[in-house]
Amino acid sequence: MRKPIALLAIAAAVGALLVQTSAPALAHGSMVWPGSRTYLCYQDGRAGSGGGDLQPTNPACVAAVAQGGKQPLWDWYGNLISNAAGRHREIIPDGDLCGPTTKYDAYNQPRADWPVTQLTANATVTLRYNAWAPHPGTWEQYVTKDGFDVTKPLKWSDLEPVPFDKITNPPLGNGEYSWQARLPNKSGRHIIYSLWQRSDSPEAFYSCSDVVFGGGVPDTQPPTAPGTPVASSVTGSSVRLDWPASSDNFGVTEYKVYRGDQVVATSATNSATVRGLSSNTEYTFRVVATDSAGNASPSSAGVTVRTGSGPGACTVTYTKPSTWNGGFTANVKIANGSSEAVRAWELVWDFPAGQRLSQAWSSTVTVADGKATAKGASWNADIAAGGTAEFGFNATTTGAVTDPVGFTLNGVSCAIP
Amino acid sequence: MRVLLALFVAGSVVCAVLVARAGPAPDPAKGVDGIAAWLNQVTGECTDVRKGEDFAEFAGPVRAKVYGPYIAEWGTCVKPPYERLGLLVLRPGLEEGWRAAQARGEVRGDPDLVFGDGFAITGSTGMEHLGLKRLECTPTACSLIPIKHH
Repeated sequence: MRKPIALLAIAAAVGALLVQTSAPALAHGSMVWPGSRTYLCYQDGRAGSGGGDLQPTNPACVAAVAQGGKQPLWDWYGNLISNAAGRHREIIPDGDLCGPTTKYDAYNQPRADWPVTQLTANATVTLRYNAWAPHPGTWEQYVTKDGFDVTKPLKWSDLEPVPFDKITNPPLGNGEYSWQARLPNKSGRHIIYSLWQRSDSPEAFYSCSDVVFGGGVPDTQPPTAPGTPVASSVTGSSVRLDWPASSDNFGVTEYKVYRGDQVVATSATNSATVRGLSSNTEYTFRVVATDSAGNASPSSAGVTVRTGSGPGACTVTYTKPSTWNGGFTANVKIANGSSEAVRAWELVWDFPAGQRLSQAWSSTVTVADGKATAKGASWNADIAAGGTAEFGFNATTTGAVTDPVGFTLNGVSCAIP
Repeated sequence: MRVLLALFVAGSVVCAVLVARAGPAPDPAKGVDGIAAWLNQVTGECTDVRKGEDFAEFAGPVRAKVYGPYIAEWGTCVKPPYERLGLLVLRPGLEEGWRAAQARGEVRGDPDLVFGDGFAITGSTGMEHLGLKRLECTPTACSLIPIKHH
């Protein structure tokens, strides 16, 4: 009798594990057309930094980063409440609609200078919503009432009582949900407020898209397909892609780089660096262009790249802590992200005319034929797996000097943060 | 008896899968590098680890003030979709600190972190199988809630 009881207890414990369903599961997403505040500020920040960091230039985005830091923009797709369960009006106070949690509070700022998307009233358009982690659910899109003042905190009563668009489980493709919707009959400045309430979880997502409604003929013409991407600066974890630009009757606003159906990078220019890759692995990338009306181009042809291995997983951080009229001090940090040590390292980068090396420390630096080569000193000639090496130098200059855009470590390209 | 045996076998398999998915825990003594190494081991991601940057620039002054006293070390790594996934080595007391800030009206809702033993991560997507938990807080109490995968 004891044995069956013991088995019953084990079975019951296993059953308890299996039926533990109260915990939340987490997804991610945000409106990308018309772009949400976090998405467009993220794009602005990427463009302002030239890639690799976020340095927004739009005044509202700058103010948001000053208040909330850069993380809400790195996580532009995570404006959510985990346990909303449809209680949006109950748990989100007036003034907090655009950023209902502390992390995204900065995106509630009542300002008139958020990035805006131009829309045509009454037009039928394709709404697009990022889907990093797809889940079933219902999307509701509200628009603000006539007379709405964007310089005042957004209240629930500012929204039209009925969503102008509502859809359950819209089509998913290329890493996005997209569906056709008829825009409301509005004019001038408004906010489109999007709610995504998942049906398999109490989690809900929120986004404010600043828009300007005008008249005119809707843009239904997509951009031409981008040219075939060309890979360069291949490291163990990243690759730079450049491609011939698309053309569009109103202008291309964004390129998306896809690996399979997943968007792995976005860019406002015809160049992007894909990061977070595994070393010694083959990847195929393609590019799609979109315009301000949300029309997507045909896909470019794919390019297949194999990431580097071993010492290829390096990152070089180049900083100039001090500059003066006619010279500068540079510090260089090499991070070996691979699982192998780099022996007798040599770092090479462009050293254009107009610069002259005057002094180096923690390494031996030589300049020839427009290239600088740094070698480790006796005590830091090797870089352990996961380790770093640092050195610095002083240089004199004539005229403007730009920072290096590429480094190779023992012949293999390194990533630049 | 056959039903019980079948349940036992099925349960053992489920347990084995769950344990295998959770993987080993990070070594807190190894700090941010230990968390990154653990994430890399169990997900194959979390590359390009950065340390020594300004946490307030990352999290903003409000959350930096609340979280800062309880962070022994922090860094970021790349783990898609996160271009900057924060890895925080924690000192004790963050829960009380968050509740106090919540009571003062400085923050609202729950901490935007997922927690392991002695550490926290600033994102959750793609980490549903790692045994991490969310912290749901009111001004009087917080509860650790396991993250479920659908």
